[in-house]
Amino acid sequence: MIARWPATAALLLAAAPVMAADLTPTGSPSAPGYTPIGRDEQGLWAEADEQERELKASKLIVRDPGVNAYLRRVLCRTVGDGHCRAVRLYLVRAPIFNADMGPTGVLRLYTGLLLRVRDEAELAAILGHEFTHFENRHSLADMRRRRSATNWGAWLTVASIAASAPRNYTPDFLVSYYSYSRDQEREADLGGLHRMSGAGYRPLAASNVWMHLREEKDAQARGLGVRSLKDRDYGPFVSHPMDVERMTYLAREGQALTTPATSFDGLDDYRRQLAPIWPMLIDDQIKLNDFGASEYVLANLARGDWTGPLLYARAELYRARGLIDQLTAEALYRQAIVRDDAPVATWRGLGLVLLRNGRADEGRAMLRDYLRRAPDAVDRAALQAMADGM
Amino acid sequence: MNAKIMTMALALLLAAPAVAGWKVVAPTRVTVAQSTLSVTPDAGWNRWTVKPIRNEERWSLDGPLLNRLSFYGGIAQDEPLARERNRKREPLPKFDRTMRATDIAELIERTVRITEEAPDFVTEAVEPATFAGQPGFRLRYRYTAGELVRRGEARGRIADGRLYMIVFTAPALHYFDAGLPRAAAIMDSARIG
Repeated sequence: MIARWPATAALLLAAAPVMAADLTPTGSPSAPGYTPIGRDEQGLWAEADEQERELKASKLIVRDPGVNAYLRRVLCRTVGDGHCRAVRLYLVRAPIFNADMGPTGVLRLYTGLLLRVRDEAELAAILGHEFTHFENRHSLADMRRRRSATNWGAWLTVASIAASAPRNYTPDFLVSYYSYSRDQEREADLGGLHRMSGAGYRPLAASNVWMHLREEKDAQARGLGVRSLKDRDYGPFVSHPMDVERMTYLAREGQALTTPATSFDGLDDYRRQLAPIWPMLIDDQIKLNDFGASEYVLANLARGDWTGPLLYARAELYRARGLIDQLTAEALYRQAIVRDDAPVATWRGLGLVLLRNGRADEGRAMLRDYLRRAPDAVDRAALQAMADGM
Repeated sequence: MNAKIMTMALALLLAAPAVAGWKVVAPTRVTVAQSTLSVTPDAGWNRWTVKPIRNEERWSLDGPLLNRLSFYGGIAQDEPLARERNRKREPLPKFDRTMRATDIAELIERTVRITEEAPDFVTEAVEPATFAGQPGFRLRYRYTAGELVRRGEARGRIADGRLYMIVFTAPALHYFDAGLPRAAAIMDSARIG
């Protein structure tokens, strides 16, 4: 049995030079005209280019030119004009809090994130974070680390079988890989923080993103009647640090970076520039059957100033939830409908909820009113039947 | 050692019938979704032997990604239209016996948005229509899933507080228009009880 060891060691030795042969890329990947260096980076880039070709054609890309131009302006202000040119930013329609960065500078930003981020400074923190992944070649390092971890895990497992002491070593190496991945995220968090504060944005906004995400998880759990998972430790096999940790170190570092020169929030700009896609984003959120999180998101958007569209959205949320909430929905629709900025669909919602609440005549009249205001409604035939008392 | 292999082979054989399969549907009146809902199909439909949920049965002509006909045979009060991945933390919207056509349209929309991760779901039409001899509804919708635009038509009604519905879904490119007349004929043939 012992005789097998030299053979295994020889195999490991033979494999080692092959793994170490690749070049180490140098220079900034965001520099103009940069081309990937070495087999690994070239391979990663080729793969990423293929994915980008598909992404470009995706039906879920939000192509509003004004919104895209604004997002790019925030990115360029955060990372600098010289660097931002290398980044291709794609806004993807998906109601989730997420963004990711590929090795070639493809930044995917999901619409659910725009709904949760409260101002330009918070957005800048996210964009700075993603840019740091790109500039510091995290994809390449991540790929190499993962490959090395699974290689060693597999070889040692084979060796242990050969030595008649079988043991699966892969998890041991994966633990170290995930730990490394979390370090990359911390590096990107702090890199993003320094970039955004360097651009004059309020540094403590970065910590706020995570504080609000934790609050949202509480609200979500309350809505579902379950325990909040905001501080659940998922153990060693997770790619990101816990929200509470990110909130804390970003606040500590953020306070240190706070000066009179770093005070820009850009709340009004953020709201105004994203206004064209706001109703779509809200609609995508409230149709997720996630009452607690949706209501929390709406309250954050309102910040005490409940506009017609926000009141309408909240009413829709209550109308969809069930019988007890129909009266709350009615009250909210009534608050929305007296405002100048009430969406036309408010008349529809109020009409439907009144029929449920036993106010048939008023409900029918409201539906007729809605059909006059929205003659091309897709559910015209069904609503007309209800308005006619059928 | 041999006994072990024999046991494993036996276990595999026993497990085989549980593997998902498709069976040809005979072109005569058949009851579907283990309910009192019955239809008369033309030849060429295949029935999936797996039930996605208790009251649903699925048919297809060319495979479920290309055309799918779902029969809902009496969804009861507070039941969802699809299997819930996590009932407590990711609940799906539930059917309510007081729902009108517009509510059913919203129920389908919310379900598809979650289960198929389709944020661009659009309802195209909601209208009254006869189903199984009584007033019911007809819905049309479209959404993108896996970069493919899909269209759907649903017809149904609520009977005895339960939802009876037949839904045809297919890619907007060719398959929806190609399959809809045959699916619509099956919907027209529906009877309850």
